[in-house]
Amino acid sequence: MKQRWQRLLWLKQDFPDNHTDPDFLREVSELRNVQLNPSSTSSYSRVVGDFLLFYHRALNTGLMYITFTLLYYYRCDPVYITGALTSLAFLASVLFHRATVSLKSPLIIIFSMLVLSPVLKSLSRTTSSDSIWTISCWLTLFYVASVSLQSQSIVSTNLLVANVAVLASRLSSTTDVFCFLLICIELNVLLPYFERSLLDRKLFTTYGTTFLINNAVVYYFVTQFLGWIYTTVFAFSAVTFVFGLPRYFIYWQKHYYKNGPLLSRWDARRPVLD
Amino acid sequence: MGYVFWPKSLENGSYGSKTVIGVKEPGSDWMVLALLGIEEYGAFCKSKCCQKYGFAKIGTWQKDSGLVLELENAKSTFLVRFKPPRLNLMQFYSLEPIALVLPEKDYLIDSTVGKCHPVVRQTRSSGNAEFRLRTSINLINLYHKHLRLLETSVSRHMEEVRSKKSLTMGFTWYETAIYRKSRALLRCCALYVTICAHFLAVTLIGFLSMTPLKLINISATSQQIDLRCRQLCYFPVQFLRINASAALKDTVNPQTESDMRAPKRSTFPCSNYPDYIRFYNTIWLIANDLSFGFSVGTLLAENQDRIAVFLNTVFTKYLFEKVHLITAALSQNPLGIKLNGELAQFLSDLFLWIIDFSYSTYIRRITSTVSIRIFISIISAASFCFGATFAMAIMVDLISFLTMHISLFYFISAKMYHWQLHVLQTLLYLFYGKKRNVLRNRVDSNLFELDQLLMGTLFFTILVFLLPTFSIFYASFTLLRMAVLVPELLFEFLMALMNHFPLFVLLLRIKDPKRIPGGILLQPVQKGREFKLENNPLTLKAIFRPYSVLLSTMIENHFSLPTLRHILVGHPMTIKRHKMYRILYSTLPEVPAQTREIWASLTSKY
Repeated sequence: MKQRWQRLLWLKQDFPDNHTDPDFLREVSELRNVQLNPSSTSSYSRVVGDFLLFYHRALNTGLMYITFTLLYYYRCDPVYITGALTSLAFLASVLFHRATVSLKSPLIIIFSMLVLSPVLKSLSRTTSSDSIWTISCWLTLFYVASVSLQSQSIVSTNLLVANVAVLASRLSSTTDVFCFLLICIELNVLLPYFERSLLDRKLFTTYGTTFLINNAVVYYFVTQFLGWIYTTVFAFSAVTFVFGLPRYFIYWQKHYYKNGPLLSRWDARRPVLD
Repeated sequence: MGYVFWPKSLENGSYGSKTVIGVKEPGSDWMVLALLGIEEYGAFCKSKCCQKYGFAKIGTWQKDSGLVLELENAKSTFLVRFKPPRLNLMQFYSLEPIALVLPEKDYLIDSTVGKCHPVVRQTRSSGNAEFRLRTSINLINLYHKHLRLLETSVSRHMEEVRSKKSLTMGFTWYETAIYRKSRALLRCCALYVTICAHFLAVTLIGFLSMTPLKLINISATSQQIDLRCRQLCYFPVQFLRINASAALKDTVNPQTESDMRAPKRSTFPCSNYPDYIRFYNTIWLIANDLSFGFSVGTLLAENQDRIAVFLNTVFTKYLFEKVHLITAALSQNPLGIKLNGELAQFLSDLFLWIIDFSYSTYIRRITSTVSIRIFISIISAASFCFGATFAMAIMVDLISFLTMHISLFYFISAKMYHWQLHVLQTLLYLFYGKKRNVLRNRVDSNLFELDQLLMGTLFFTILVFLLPTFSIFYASFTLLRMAVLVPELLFEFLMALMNHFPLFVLLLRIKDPKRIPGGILLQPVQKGREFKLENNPLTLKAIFRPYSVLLSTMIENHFSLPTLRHILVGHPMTIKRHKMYRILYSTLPEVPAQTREIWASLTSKY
C-alpha cells in the first residue's frame, strides 16, 4: 500500500513535485460552497438595540466625568445636586418597586463613605494629577470592557468604585468627596439598575425618556465644557457606533467561516520553538 | 568462609615451632591470643583454662613456614592482622563512630551522619555478617584482658608471677589510718558540696525556664547561666559513669577472676569513653573560658576610660541621632518617593516620640560615660569570675536592651505591613468576587451584597495608595534591625564556639586517633590473601558536625530565600536563641537529673 502524502518538506516522499492531495481539492470546493451560501444572521434591529444599551452604559460613565469636572474645575456646590438625586432615587425606588426599601444597606454605604471621605481627600495629595488621570483612564477602559463582556458583574462594579475613589482623592473638601462618591454611585449603579427594571417591565416610553434626558445632559455639558466641535465628533461617533457598526457586524457574521479544515490545515503553521 | 584475627606484634621475637592459642565467643570469629612454646603449652593444658575461658589450640606456627591452621575449613579462612587496642589507654575499635553527642539527641544533627562511614554501610548488607563482625570487634577490643587471663593461668602453673607485679605495686605506703580518715572526711565534704551545688543549679535552671517569663529565650546571660548550671548538674552523672567503667577495668585483676565471665559479656568497657571525652571537654572549655576571661577582663579594666568615651559617642550618634534623622527624613518624601503625607507624618511622629521618650528615660542615662564605665567594670568582673562568655553574654543583652526602641519600631512596622498585605489580599479576592473558604482551605466564588462590595473596594483603593508609605517605613526599620542583629549574632556565634568547641576531641585526634574511632577499615594485603584491620579515626567533618548544623541553621534563619520571603511578607524576624542552642546542647540531657537521684547514687557508691 502506498504511503499517504504528508505536508512535510524534509521527508523524502514517493510523489511527483506537482502532486496535489485529493483532500485539498475537496476542501476547497467545500469552502466555496460555504462562501456562496452564507449562514443566517441576527436581525438588524436587535443588534442595534444591544448596541444602544451598551452606548447607554458608556454614556452613564460619561456622567461621572461630567460631575467630576463640575466639582473639580467649576467648583460647583454639590449639595443641591446630591440632595435632588438622592430624593429622586428614593422616590423612584418607592414608586417603581412598590416595596419596603431595606434601609440597612444604604445607611451602611452612606456612613462608611462619610467616614472614609476625609481619608480619601488626603490619599493622593503627593501624587501628581497626571498619574491619577492615567490610572482613572485605564480603570474606565477596564470598566467599559468588563461591562461589554458582562453587563452586571462584581468586577465591573468594583472597577467603577475604584475609579470613583481614585478621582475623589483629587477633590479638595470632604463634602465634595462624599457628594461625588454618592452621585457617582447613584448615576452608575442605581440608574442602570433602574433602567434595566424599566426594560424588564416593558415600560419603553419611560425608558426612552430617561435615555433622551441622559443624552441631552451629556451633550449639553460636553458643549459647555469643550465646545461644539467635540459635541459633533462625539455625536457622529455615537451614531456610527449605534447604526453603522451593527451593519458591519452582520456582514461579518454572514461571511465568517469558522473551523474550516482548509483554513486550519493548509495554513502556514506557527513554528514550534523550544 | 571464616576469618582469624591475628595481632600484629605477635611474631616479633618468636622463633621455632609454636602452638597458636585462640579465643572465640559464640557468634564471633577466632582471635589469636598467643604463641606458646612447648613447656608453656604443657602448662596451658594442665591449667584447665581451655574450657573455662574458651581458649583453644587452633594451629601451629613456624618461623619459616608461617601459620598452619587446624580448623575445619582452613582453606577458606582469611587472616586479618590488627594492632591490639589498649583499653587502659582508651583505645578501641568500633563499627560506628564514637558518639560525641548524646544518643538521644542524635536526631538534631542526624541528617548526614550516616553517610560518612562507608565501611559500616557495606557490612550492613547482611545482618548476620554484621552481627558476626560486631562480636569479633568486641572480642578484639578485649584482647589484652584475655591475654592477661591466659598469662596468669599459664604462669601460675609455671610458678612465675609476671603480670601481678605491675598491678599491685605501689599500694603500700599510703594505706595508713590517718590517710584513710582524712580521705573519708574529704570525701564527705566533697559529697555535701556537690549536692549543694547541684541543688542550687537545678533550682536556678527551674527559675530561668519558668513558663510565664522564660528568661532563657529573652536574654543571653540567662542562657549562659543555664548552660553552666546544666553542665554542673551533669558532672556528677558523668563522673559516676566514668568511674563505673574504671571499676569494670579493675575487674581484670586476677583476684576476682571467678566472676569474670558475667561482666565480660554483658557490658562493654568502651561504652563510657564518650562520657569521658565529653566530661573532660567541658572541663577544659570552662578552664579555657576562664583564662580568656582573665585576659579580656584585664584588657577591659585597663582601657576602661577610653572605651567608655568611645562607646558614649558611638551610642549617642548611632542609637539616637542617626535614628532620629532617618525617622524624621521618612516623613518628607524620602528619595523622591511620593508617600501619603498624613500617614507618613503620623508614623514618623509616633516613632520620633518613642525615640525621644526612650532616649530621655533610659538610653541617655545608660550611655553616659560614667554608667558605661560602671558597666565595663561589671563586665570585666564577670569576665574574671565566670569567663569571657559571660562578658559576651552581658554585652549581647546590653546591646539588645539599648536597641530596644529600634526593635520596637521594627515590630510595629512589620505588624502593620503584614496586616496591610493580608487585608489587601482578602480585598483583592473580593474585587474578583471570590472569598476564602476556611472550611475547605481554598478560594471560592461568592455573591457579595452591594454595600460589601462598595466598602471593600473603597478600602482596597485606600490601602493600595497607602502601601508605599508602609513599605518604606517597614524597609528602613528592617535594615536598621538587621544592622543591630549582625553584631548580636556574631557575639552569639563566638559564645557558641567558646562554649562547645570540641577541643578535647581535636587534641585526641592529633595525639591518639585510636581513641576516637569513626569506624573500621579492612584492607586487603598480599593479593587478597590477608586483610589488615585498621581504625578509621573520626573525621573532622563529623567532629564539627554540630557546628555546621548550627551555621546552616543560622544562615537559614537569617540569610536565606525563605527568610527573604518572610521579610517581604512582613513576618517578624527574631533571634531564635532556643532553636539555635538546641543543637549545641546536644552533649547535655534535656532534663537535668534530680538532686535526690544524684544523692542516692553518690551515697550508694561511696
